[in-house]
Amino acid sequence: MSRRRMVIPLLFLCLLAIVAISLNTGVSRMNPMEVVKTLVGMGTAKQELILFEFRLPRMLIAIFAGAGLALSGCIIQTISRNPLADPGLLGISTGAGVMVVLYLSLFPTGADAPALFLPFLAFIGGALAAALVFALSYERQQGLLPGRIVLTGVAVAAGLSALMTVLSLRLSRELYQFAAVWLTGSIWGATWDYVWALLPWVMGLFLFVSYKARVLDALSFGETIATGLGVAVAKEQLQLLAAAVALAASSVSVSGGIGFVGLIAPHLARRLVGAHHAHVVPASALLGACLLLGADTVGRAVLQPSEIHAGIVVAIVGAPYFLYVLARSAR
Amino acid sequence: MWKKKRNIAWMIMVVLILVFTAACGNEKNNAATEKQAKTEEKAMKTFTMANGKKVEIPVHPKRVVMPYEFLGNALALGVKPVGVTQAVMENPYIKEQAKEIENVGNPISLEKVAELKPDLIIVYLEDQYKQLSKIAPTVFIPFGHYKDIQEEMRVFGELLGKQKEAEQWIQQFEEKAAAAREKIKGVIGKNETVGIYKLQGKDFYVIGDNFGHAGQIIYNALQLTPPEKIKQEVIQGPQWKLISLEALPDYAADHMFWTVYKMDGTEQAEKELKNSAIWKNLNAVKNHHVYEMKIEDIWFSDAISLEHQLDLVVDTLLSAKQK
Repeated sequence: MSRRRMVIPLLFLCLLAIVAISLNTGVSRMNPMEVVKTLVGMGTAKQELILFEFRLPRMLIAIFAGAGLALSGCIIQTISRNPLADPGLLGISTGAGVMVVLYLSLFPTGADAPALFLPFLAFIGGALAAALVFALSYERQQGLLPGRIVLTGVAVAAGLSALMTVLSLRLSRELYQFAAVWLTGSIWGATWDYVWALLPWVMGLFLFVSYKARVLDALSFGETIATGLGVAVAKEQLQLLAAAVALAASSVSVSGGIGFVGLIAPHLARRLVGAHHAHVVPASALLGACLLLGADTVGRAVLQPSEIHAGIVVAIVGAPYFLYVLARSAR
Repeated sequence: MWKKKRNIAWMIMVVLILVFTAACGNEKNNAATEKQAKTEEKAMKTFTMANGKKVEIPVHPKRVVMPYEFLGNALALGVKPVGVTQAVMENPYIKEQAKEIENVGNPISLEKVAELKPDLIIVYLEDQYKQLSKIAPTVFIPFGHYKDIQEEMRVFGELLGKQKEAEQWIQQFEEKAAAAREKIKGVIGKNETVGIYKLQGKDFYVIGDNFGHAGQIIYNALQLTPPEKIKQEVIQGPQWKLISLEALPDYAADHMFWTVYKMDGTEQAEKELKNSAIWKNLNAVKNHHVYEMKIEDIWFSDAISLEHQLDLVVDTLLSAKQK
């Protein structure tokens, strides 16, 4: 029991360690003393530029998007009682992409829009796609059927992906390049506006989900038992899923579609701290943040001056882990 | 209950620390941009970009970071950039000179560019424009936006403060082109058409006059004639068109310049093509007027590459004539 209590503080320290390493990683070689000096305001203009304009916003986006995706995965895994569910199942990143491409094809000067407009559209698109998946998987007598969510999600994602391809053919060459680059994930284009757009969502929703930890515990036993425990199942499911969609969509809207984080983080968190959501929720968020920030840092360190996209690094780690989990559960 | 409260307390602490860091960062960000502005004291001028926006750039930039695709333009004007983006394909005509220039990656590594301390940055994608502008004045030049190399070189002359050199280059290029047109008189008949085709992966494309692949040489410099269908649908359209094998005879020309961009399935597709009845029945194939070019030789459309491609196309046509 006491070992489990240590996990969350340890994860927090882990996150701080990764932050420290990430601050020191990059093409620009700054030794730790220079980093500390710059943080306190005594660095050169160039060092301040690199640290505060390039590295720090990107790190914060990685932390909050990672946490957001992890929290989203946590909720979805609990409600659908499927420990291998992932926010990507709901077609959120595809929905986000369709919205962006649709907008660009209707308004060719869209690339000039104010900084937060495209992420906002991506958010709406992601939320709509998820809403579509839920609407199609809702069975009036039985609430949301977990099996249906998976299948519907795959179908909706495929359909939206085809729609996105058709729409993107209508874009001019430059807009197509712009869209393609934007959609693969903009962590490296992260600016402070994106940070401020994401931070309140993730923070606010994190507090909401933490507050609902008991409800999640009850829901994880299934709807019948949950009702017996006094939970208004339909209402709570709706609220929590809305929160999950909002978390995933906001993360995707500023960092592009990154898979596996929403799958691995809550799954690993459960194995480390047990089933009580009071622990699982913060542990998932911290693990998600560590995972994505770590992936981004590795991606920046390995192939300089180019970089490996964080999503790819996560996939490299995630795929073997996923296979390992499958192998274990097959026994 | 107590446990839950304690965890929430931890989390609120985390939140406060992160928000504090973020707030600090934002303050510093303003200070950083101010510090930068003070060190700029060079002569500046206003440049209007293709998207209508204006930007202040140095009159004589000394440290330029630019895309690899435009490198030939700068070298032709005697400007050696301090950084270029990662090449997708190596340009054989500027291989030696490109070796000595720093690679800033693709996508562009913001930190690497900042390290190089440029005074002018050129990009052809808008996505990192905002971040790069924080390092140095950044100019957005859409790829293939200008009608021909002459117009493009004038823009680059203005950008790099080498207007005179640009005019000189344009003049000598036009003289070379006129001489080339003389040389190939008689190789291609007055009523004969020329087309540019590419096999990429398993797909077949027809290319226009401003999309690389020596289009500018064949149609602009040598002033050869495209088939009517290509002129209307490709040159006056999106500059490239994906066609099926069955449609090929409709787009065929009397002389066909042909290139292969190797991807999955290309070898198989090429074999199928060359063995098909459609291919064998094309006039160009029957008269041996199909000229196969290497993709890296004709991919680039910067000034230096075009000069070499002019010689290459002329030599190809002349040596084919002698057969």
